[in-house]
Amino acid sequence: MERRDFIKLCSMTGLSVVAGSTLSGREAKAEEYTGTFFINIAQMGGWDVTSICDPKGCASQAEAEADAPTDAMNRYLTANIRETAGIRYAALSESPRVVGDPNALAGALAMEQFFLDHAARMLVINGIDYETNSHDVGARLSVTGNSNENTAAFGAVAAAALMPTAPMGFVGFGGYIGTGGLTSVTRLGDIDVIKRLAFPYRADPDDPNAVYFNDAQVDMIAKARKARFDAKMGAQKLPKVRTAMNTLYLSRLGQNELKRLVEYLPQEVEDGIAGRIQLASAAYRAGLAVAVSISSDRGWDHHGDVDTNVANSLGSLFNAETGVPRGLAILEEQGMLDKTLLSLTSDFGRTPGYNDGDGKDHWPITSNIFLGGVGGRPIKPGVKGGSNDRHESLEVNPDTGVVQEGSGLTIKAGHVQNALRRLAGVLDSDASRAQPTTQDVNELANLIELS
Amino acid sequence: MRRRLQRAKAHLLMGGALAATALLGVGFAGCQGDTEDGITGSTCVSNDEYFAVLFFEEIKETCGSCHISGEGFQKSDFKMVPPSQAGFLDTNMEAIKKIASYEANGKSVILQKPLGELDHGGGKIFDSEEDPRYQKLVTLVDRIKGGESCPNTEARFLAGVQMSGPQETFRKAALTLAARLPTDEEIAAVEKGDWAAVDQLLEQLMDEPAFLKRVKEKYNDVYLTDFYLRNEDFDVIGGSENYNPRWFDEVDVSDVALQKKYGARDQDDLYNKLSGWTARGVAQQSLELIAYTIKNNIPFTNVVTADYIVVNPFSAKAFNITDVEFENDANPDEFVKARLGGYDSDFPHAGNLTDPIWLQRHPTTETNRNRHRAREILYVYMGNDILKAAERPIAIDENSLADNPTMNNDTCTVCHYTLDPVASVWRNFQPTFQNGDDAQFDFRPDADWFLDMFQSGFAGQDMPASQYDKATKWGGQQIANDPGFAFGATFMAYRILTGNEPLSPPQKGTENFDQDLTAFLGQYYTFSKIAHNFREGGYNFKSLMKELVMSPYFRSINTATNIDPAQIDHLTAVGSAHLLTPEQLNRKIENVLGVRWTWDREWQERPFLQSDYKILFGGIDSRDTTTRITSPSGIMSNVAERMGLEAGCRLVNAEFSIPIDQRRFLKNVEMIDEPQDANYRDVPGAIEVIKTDIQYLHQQLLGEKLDINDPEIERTYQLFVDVWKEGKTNVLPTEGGWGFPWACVSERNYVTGEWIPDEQRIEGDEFYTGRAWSAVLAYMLTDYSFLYE
Repeated sequence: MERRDFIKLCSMTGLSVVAGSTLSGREAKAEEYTGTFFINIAQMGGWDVTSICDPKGCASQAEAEADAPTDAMNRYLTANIRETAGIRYAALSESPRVVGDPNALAGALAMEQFFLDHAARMLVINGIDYETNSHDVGARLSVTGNSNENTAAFGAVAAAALMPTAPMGFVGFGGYIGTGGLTSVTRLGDIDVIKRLAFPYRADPDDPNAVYFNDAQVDMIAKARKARFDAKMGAQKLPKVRTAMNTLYLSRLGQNELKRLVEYLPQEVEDGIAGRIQLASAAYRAGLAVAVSISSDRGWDHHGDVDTNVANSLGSLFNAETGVPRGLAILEEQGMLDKTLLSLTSDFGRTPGYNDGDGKDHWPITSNIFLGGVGGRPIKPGVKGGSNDRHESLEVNPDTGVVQEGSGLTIKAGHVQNALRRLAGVLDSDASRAQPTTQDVNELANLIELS
Repeated sequence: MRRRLQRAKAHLLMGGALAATALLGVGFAGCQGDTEDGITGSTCVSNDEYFAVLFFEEIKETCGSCHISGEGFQKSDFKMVPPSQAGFLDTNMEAIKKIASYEANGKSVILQKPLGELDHGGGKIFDSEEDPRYQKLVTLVDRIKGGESCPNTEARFLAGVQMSGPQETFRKAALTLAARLPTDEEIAAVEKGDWAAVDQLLEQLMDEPAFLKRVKEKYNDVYLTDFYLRNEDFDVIGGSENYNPRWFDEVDVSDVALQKKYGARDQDDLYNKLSGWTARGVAQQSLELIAYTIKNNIPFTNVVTADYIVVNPFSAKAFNITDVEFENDANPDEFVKARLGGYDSDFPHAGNLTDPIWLQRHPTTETNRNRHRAREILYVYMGNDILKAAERPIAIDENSLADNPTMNNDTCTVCHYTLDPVASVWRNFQPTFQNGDDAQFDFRPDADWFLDMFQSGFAGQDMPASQYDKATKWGGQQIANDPGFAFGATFMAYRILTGNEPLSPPQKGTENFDQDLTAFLGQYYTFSKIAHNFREGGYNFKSLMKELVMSPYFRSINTATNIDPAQIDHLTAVGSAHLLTPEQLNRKIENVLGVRWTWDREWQERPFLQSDYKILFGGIDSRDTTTRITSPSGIMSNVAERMGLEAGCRLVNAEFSIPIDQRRFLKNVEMIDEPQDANYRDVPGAIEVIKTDIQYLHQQLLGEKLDINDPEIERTYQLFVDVWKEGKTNVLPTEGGWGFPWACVSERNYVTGEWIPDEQRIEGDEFYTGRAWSAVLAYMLTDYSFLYE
């Protein structure tokens, strides 16, 4: 079966399969991946973008009061919106409800500190119109650029295109991790357990002599397994069964490469997002992983008391010990920051103004944040796109993505995904073509640029 | 046996727009062994199918913007439901039939309005009657008026599929539903009684605990109430004065008589047991009501209408329920009916809709207003994934927010029109969130409902004011009465049985729309028929499951050898092929092999697949990891690899540690049976017994009934010989009698449970046959046929 046909078949059956050159039947041996490492951190539940990077504030102190009329965009003055290196971010720590709650205040301040530390190398894309206020659709669309079901997250496209034989090309710790049949998703966990799995033929993973079978015997089992697989596949025609058999067989190719992971595992895994970045980066440094999807620990669906609740969520996301700042520090310690592209996304945004419960409801306009670089070159920092004072998307220059009224083009999730694919060098890959976004690949070609 | 081969040509009765089903008339048959006849094709297009294709090709897009949702929907008398709603084709066909029967001036209303006549709110859709799309509508109305001449059949969609016969079907069902192999008696009964025997045995199979465990696991994948199983957070339920979750803190755990009663080793063990069993009773209350309903053959609607909960002796204490009796009040697995607040309480029990822990796990907020609860109940019990109704792109600006958008804006009402009235079912469980009132489980009979939401009701029917103080009871009954309930149960049963999701309706314009549509329709009509039978048959869940077992969506095993390749594209949904969940694989290891895959060699610790490898093998913890991974990664395949090595070696050691007449698998061979002598000449007697046991292993573990000379037997035998030779040559001389790995050595007779004296334990492996057999087991236990069902 041809590779493209196989991908198509898998997509039709809704089942995933390890993709790439293995699809053409070669006994591929995994190479070491040394390209860019992609990390997406998804704030599930609808992160309130005005609380972070597309703030609007309010005009007067009266509007900023906790019990003020609800059409104010935020409970802090527009004049007090923070700005570092040209990036504007929320003065959430001035919201009366946040001021009155020590935990929330700490969360808001953690967010502000994050921008102080990282804004100079940050790209913010504002005013992205996801055209949905459905959690499921938004979560999917945000990382696929396509609202259809069974579409592939960017991490899956990148893994399938850049290292099709990787045994753990796409590591998933939450968020939308659909693969559209391009690859499979790997979870990682306890270090001792990973060691056991990296060396399944060792009774004691730390003792190379304590083996169940020697290498020659392991090869004998593999050879018999391959011969049986060929015989069974030759006789089977039901697409669903064939796909499942292929998936299992192909998942085993390169399983020996997992041993390399052990060399890079930390002594102890840290907590929270930082720990997940730590584990995934070990897989990357071992040459095994291309991309990771991480979901933030806290939900963001704050229909009520949004300022306090968002600030609390921010406290988790930007916690210096366990959150994104620590994750970035780990990457920097490992010298990986310039070849890691980290993105922060949400399933959509939240309504302008407050509802009667001081919350905000679903709204399709949102933002993405990018940090790091590609191929050793940092991304060009700044702001692309934008929204008006009521969070409606502004039109942008069709090439650069900078706000340009009258262009007739607003930024969609598909544009961002196309830009990411272009940066990653996978836009013209079979995987990308098998999983197109809903936007024209020629639009907004320079939405994300390198310095 | 090979029975017949038939090829029929398709004679399409429909126009070009209906080409999606063009290939469906082609049929094939042909089979081997226990395989049944293949399904032969049919060229007869039913009215339902004609409508269905037209719905996807034209009606959904052309009429849906007013008659499914959108502007004008609420005012229109002709309402259809979106494809996200289970049974939508049945519902919409009924709506079409109804509107087609209305006539004005001797002509059906539905044929006049699209021409802009009769004050059609949507204006003129077709310029003239000559429009081909209009002509299809005319054909549909003619067909409806003419009555049905051609019922929906699997033959329309599944031509060329081969299905398993009685023995293979029952084996697969036994493994899938009860995680065990058929017994010799069952095999004999099927041999004698054919499908009638299968029907009877399936019924018995579903009385087994493993089946109910599987059911509970699948419902928990949605409920996630097992979140409360392994921690003490179950005391968080707020609102019930009678709730005393930590009742065991008052128990004198040093009381030796109590320790004996509950089988505890010491006071710490007693405390942990009482705590854990209380958590089990409280956390799994909803899941246990489902199990109780199925086990006792109560109509399945009970899960949303029961005027009781079920409690075990420990959760009964937590809920301060004293008017119930247990056969054994020390048995945490005994669940009986009880009413919160006592037998005479006015609490509006509505099955799982009012389960305290479910309400707690899915809390409402000041602004969520029970919508999350409504969404989940619609999904589980109505097969209605409400968020899929909102999949089309929306255009929104701030004007959209004016005038209460959830009631007045199309982009919001597409979900909220259905969702919000259902949310009101929990109007008596909506805290005010004022002055500390945030208890999720506090019955508020006098609670008001919100005026800025669609009002209390269900599926277009208003809730009578007299029901406001017992809204959950009314809501549960509406769900039970709705045709969608049978679809919802069918979908869940299909997930339980196959591990697969029902197909989603295809979206026009996608690459494989034609194939996706035919695959979808085939499954839809099968499920529709099964749901109909479930409803008409009194909602017996076991009967529902039996019908699914007998359907092509479980029994399909291959296609006819000479099937047209184009037809294969239409068969993407048939057959079941899913990687076992960690829970299923663990049960299969324990029940089929008889060993436990654990850390310790006494096999007392928690199984690896319930602990170390549970999440890595794609499982969930109902807390942080709530989505299963169903396609194996490299890490997952290595979990299976380690399982094959360790469980396989344990099994081999366990077998050789007991007398040959007690064994389960290696019934002919001993460790001294080497295939070749010291000069590497074949030993025919040994080869014969080795191959005989390999043949039996293939049958038992992989479901393959093979001739002794089959190439698969030969391949497995050759693996045995190769590994044995390598071991004899290169391992034995250097290992110094190390033999079996420590963790593989059995300390007990794994059949009788008796201790094996030290001197009889098998630790060495001087002929290297023990490990050669272990290699055979590793090969088989990691095979597709063992890891997948």
